[in-house]
Amino acid sequence: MGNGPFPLRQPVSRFARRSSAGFRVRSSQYLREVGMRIVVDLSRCEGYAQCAFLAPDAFRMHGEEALMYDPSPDDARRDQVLRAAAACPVQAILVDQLEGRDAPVEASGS
Amino acid sequence: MTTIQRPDTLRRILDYSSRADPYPLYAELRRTPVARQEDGSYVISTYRELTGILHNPHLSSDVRNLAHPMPLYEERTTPSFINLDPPEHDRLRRLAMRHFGPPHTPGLVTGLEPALTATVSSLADGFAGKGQIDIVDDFAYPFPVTVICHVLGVPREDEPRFHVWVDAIVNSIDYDPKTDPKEKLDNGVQATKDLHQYLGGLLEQRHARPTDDLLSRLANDDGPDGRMTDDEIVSTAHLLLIAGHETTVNLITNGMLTLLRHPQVLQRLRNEPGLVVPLVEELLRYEPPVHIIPWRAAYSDITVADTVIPKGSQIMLMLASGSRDPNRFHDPDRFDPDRRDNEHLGFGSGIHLCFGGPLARRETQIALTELVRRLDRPRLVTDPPPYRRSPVLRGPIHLHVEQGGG
Amino acid sequence: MTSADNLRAFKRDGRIVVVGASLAGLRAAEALRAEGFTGSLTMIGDELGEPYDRPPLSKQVLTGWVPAGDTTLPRRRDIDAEWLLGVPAGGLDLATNHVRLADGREVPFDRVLISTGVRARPWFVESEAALDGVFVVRTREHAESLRQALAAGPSRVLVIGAGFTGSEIASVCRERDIPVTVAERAPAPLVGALGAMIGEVAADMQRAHGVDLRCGVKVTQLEGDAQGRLRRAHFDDGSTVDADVAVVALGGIRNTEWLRDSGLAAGVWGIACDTGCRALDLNGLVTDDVFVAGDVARCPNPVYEYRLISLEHWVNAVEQAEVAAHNMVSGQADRWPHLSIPLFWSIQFGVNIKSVGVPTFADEVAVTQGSVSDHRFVASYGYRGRVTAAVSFDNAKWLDHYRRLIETAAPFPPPCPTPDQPVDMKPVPVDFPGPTLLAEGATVVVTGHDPGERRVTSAQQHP
Repeated sequence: MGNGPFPLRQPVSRFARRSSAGFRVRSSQYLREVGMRIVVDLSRCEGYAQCAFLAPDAFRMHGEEALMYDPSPDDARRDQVLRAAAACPVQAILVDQLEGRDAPVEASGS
Repeated sequence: MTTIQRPDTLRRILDYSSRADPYPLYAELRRTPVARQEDGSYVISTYRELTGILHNPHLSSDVRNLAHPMPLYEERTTPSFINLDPPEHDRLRRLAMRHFGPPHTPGLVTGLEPALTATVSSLADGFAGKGQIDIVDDFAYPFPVTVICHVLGVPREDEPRFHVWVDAIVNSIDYDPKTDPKEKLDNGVQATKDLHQYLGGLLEQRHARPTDDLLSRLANDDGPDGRMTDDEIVSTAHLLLIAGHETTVNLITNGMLTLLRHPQVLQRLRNEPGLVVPLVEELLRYEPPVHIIPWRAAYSDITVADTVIPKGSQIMLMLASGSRDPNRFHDPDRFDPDRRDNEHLGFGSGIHLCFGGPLARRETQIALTELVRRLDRPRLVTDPPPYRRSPVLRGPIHLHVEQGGG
Repeated sequence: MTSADNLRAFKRDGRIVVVGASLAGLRAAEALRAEGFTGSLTMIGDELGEPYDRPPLSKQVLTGWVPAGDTTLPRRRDIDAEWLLGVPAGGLDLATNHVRLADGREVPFDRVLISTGVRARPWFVESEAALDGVFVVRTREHAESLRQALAAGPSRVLVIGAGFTGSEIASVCRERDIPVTVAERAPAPLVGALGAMIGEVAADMQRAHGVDLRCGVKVTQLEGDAQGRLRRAHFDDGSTVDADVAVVALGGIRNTEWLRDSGLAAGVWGIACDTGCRALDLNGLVTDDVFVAGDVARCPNPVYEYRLISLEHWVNAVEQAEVAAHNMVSGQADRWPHLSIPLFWSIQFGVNIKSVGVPTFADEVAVTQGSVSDHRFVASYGYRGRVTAAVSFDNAKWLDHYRRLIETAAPFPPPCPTPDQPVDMKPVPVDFPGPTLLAEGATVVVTGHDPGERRVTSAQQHP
């Protein structure tokens, strides 16, 4: 990571150190090292398809109005995805505001 | 409230003398969100009322639903989808969209990007060694015209012919029988006929020898909705040709003007090219190319902000006023490219949302990026610049900029 | 100390525990930080990994476009939380303000948010549910397993249950050109949520896309072969279908068992709360320090006669999370009510289906715009002469208008025509089979005589 405007954060929050909950490991099972994260509030989406014009690899119309999207688009498409998010007439596309973040940790050491 | 408390506000907005800065008058207008005019028409100027009515299925775009039909549109034979309601609107827009955007042609706009960049770059090459540039004539007009001609399949070299027609048509959009000479209307009607005849000729060629342009694709469509008639294709091409360059020229020019008035932002844009994306959205809110939807019709009684607009009434939608509504946008008269939650009305809203919005965005993003990169210490020659007549499609007619030493 | 001082101290140094680290829990945590809460924040979740989004699991993931692990939710801000993942909560002690984890650990709190959501309802015969080829879809592990099974090219998929999830999965199968049978006990798909008329449209769509749709039937047995692989399903009409994949899409079970002894008004119906997302105890008294959000919350909605309504809708989780978070760090006078009109969407067979309002809270329905046969229309729902809901098929741009109609209790059927109103528009009975909202009750026993000792105990047992 480190390709975004935010510095890499401490992997474990400050509370982990003083907690009594015990042994933790960092979960990496579903963490990928590349890719953006987005989510579209499809209850707001009205099917204007502006995103599918501007970032066709990440946003696809399924029929005339239904939007399907890649929640983790390739970092090479970052500029397109940011253009798509800005162009949404109902501002339904949320792009991750953190790039390197405090990753969650597991509760048990098993 | 439906008072007629400032009967002259709208008239003053439409008057040419307020073209350079209509925004204080919009603020005056917003004191009455739904204002009934003396002639029985209604003007809507506040954000929530505008978004509400743009999503209201009782609002009609079809002139035939006006109690007092407007003169220009009676002359038209086949309306384009901008002047139709569902289901006809939906069918025609879907047919046009098949060849312009998703879901059937999703890569068209991104595929045009290299051509957009090259066009902009070659226009900017012309700046070299010039002390003074007209952003409109030297750049913001020729660029989108070249693009829409390419997309539609209209020969670029015919521009001097259709330019005259387009001017006359745009001039007649806000024709007011009470104040305007009949000639203004007649010119628009004749120009429409001439443009349709011209486009009809091109369409005939495409029937005979199809190429890869939009006219050819519309002429030879075989999708689930069938094919547009030739009249429908001509009306659609008319709409896209006008909308495709009469609006983007304003957006680019308004953009450069706004940047020159905000030199810190201009400098930031040089250093952070990514800023152009939110900047163009803010531009669409702050200095949009389309200020007014001059008429819509109440298909049946419509209640807006406790006002009942009777069936058949003419309704004017003040989009640019809505995008400056302080009840929706914090500090709305400030140009802030970092603004969040920018749900502006620059391209309208609802089913008639601008057909070519994504293309206009990319054109403007690429154009402004190149302008700030290539112009050497640009300075406005006159502020405000001279404006075009239209209060509907509002923008400078010339934007003279000095550059280089001196 | 005044209560304002208390609140300030709590916002600065308090302890908030969020039980349920999915969409609602994450958005609540972000909202708490956005509201200025700087105390300790603990996220408890039974699944490993960061919070992820579920709607793509039955769509983009199953088509093979998006890997199941790629739906991690984007963050609005850093939440600076302690994450206790992989172990579910086992109990809630409101006398000492502790959450007890299933492994016995105890986590103290000053205020707690419960957003434990729902889990997939499994096939009712455990040995049959364990057959190779029998799936549910709720977690990304489920979706990944099913995606692999679909990618292997099964000879036929059986989808049990034609609600939204089942219908979406059937749609994906057809998109992948996999033969699919859908079995539904009701007379049509989606009928429990949207009524008989829309159910017929949904049935048309399925059949038009080549789904072998069987309605009014019940799957009685899933039969395996000697290797423990699914081979056949038996129906109550005596017929059978050979299939190597079965997807059980029979809805969800709310994760409330862990609250059985908590004294909260929790049960199979969810956890009752007020519109401020404060949980009710068994007596129906509002608690001060326990908040609820998301699929597990059962919240009154004034628009629907103050009925307690549980919604498994994405945006409901987000909005309740924001309301709950705000109220957790606000004084009584500054609290917000959650008053949104419900919104829902589903993507299937290339059509965008959206609804606003509560369609089950209706006695009549009418197509008010568009054409049913084109699968492009809006239908609005009415209850005793007012609009209570609307559903659109590829007509989402109009729905906001219907939201306003619902909010203003506009008359039903809508008196004014639109240009695209069907000429034969006529309200018909909405016709929901089986239990509707009106029948979805909680059973309790009231004891005691003096006002100070009257109490409620839950009579409804968890399954």
